Amino acid sequence: MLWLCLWFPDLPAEALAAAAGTVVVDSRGSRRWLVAQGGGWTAALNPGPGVGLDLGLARLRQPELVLLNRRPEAERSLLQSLGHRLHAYGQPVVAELRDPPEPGQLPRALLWLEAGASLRLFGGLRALAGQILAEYRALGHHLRLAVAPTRLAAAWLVQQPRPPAVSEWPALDAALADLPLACTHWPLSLQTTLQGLGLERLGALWRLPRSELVSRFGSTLLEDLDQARGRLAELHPALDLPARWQRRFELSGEVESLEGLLFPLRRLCGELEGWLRAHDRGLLQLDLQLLQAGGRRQAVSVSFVTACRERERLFEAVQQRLLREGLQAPARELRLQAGTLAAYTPVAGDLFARRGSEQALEAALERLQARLGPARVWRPGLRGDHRPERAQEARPLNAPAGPAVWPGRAARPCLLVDPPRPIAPPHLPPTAEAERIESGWWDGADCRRDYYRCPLDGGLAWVFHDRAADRWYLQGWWS
Amino acid sequence: MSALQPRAALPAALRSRLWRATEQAAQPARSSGHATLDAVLPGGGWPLGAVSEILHPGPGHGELSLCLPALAALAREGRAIGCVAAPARPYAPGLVQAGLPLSQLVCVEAPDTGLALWSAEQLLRAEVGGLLLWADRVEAAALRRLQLAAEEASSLVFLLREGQAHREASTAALRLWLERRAEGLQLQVLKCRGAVPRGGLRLSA
Repeated sequence: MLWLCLWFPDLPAEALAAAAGTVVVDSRGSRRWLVAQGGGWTAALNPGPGVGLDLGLARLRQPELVLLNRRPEAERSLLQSLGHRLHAYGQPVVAELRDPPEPGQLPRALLWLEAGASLRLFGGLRALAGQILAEYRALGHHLRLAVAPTRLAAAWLVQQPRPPAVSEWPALDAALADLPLACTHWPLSLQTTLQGLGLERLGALWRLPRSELVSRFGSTLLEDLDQARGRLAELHPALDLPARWQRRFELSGEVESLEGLLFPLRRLCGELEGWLRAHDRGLLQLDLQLLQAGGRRQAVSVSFVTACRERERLFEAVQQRLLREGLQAPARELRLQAGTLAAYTPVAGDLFARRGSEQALEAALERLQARLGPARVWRPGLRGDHRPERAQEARPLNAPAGPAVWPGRAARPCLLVDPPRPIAPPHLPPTAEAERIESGWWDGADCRRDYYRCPLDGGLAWVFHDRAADRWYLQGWWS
Repeated sequence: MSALQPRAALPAALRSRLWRATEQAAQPARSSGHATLDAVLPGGGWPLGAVSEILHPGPGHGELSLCLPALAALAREGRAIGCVAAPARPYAPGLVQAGLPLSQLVCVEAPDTGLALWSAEQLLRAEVGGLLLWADRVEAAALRRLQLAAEEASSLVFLLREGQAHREASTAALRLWLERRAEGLQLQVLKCRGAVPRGGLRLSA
């Protein structure tokens, strides 16, 4: 087995979409300490590896700190969402959010991927790791990556500033033996005790007699060591890929302007992209709910012309739609839900340049739909009916094409006035021939009409005489 | 001044590089499908990558029958056709009878002229093959934007304008005045880039 471990050190800040200059604080009892900083690499603030700066000390250095409280459940759902993306690279995927074992320590957000089976497909370990890192960095996440034959060893190695890639069993012991104790997830008090005994590195621990180690520090320490070295089986609780995708994002306050929503929205779209990619599907419809002050909800639904997967395209469609509708009230929470799914055709390369221009058209049509409303962008379709208003329908753009041939023989104009407009009885030319249409007695829309071509306001109009009501109407223009 | 020399009498180096105001300049165009109209248009058809303005008194003056043959030919080649802000609903049976494959057509309804122009520009940026846009009042700046978008897309763009718009100046490459008379469609070329307008003609449609 070969485990790729991803560590997201800034996840507490990323889960809250914390702005630069704000810090995320964890608390236990009266003790409060910094776990992450918005918009930056957290490690710079920490007094030591795995340990967060005490809030009191931080305030001494920077009195005007803006604080946000850590929300583990938001971190957990973000981590799972990030894990969905890994399913595109292999299985199983394991996600684990380790809360601080003791006050002052940092939480650890880790993802693992069993990559042994995927190496050949992605062109080797280096290429795979590079692709995964690039993908998460493009989404705006800080992360570090390590590789080891066991899950625990990978999780410890990733804490090193420059983690070595250990892909062979024989190299594992040597790599672990050099690790400082701070790389482990053990409580700080245990680490200090061990250091007090002169045991600075992991290698020093397993050279001690095993029975002594157990009697002094309990069995978990030895079990952890054995698991990391591959001498004891590990459990791999796999993160499963849900069949439906739904995410909520609680905003840190009431957001009154649209701009404040765009950042989290783009992030959610990125998570959705990861889920769609793992399923190898595309999206036809996306539903967004904004929970607002006073228990109100604003619902926005965006539909796509063809199955869509790219983050930017998802985001742009939602953004255009929100710009058009505006925010009805300050928003507190976002809920994004994937609607109808469909098979996805990826963008072809330049071999088929045509596909590229089709994509541009689809994107343009989505922009139009988002700004004008889906009902205003449509495609005329034929229906088999004699009544002129019912011989056509407005089809949504992503509906399958209808019949291509109209069965009727009589000529029809290209512009239809629908519903027909009442007019005064026109002066029919002496040569005018009537086309009689009688239909619809069975479905309640009975029509008994005589149609004529007739000059009206200088143009040539298609008018009819409703024989039931003895009235005249304008139905179309011979343009 | 001496009389105009025939082209063949000119030095060879000069012959291909000389343009005379009485001749039509070469420019990309597509056949309009009306032989009499092609004969008077520079390049032998609707200009590609330019806005053609068709001025008419109102709906029902044959303005669509003028544009549709060329657009239908484009659509049959698989190009998309946009139809923006029509004064009434584009009607599928009539369009099919005019030879337009419906699968290539996209209709856009815009609540105001500004949005109609925006939609048209978006479609041109996506390089639709042809575009029909109804807009009566278009500001000069907006018209120029449309013209630029048309140039980049090298599409056929028809701007259908009703009423008295022919009194206003316009940057369109081609301007026609179309009117339905008792004897048929009467058409007048008001302006065409690359040649001197040649007055009116009658279409049999």
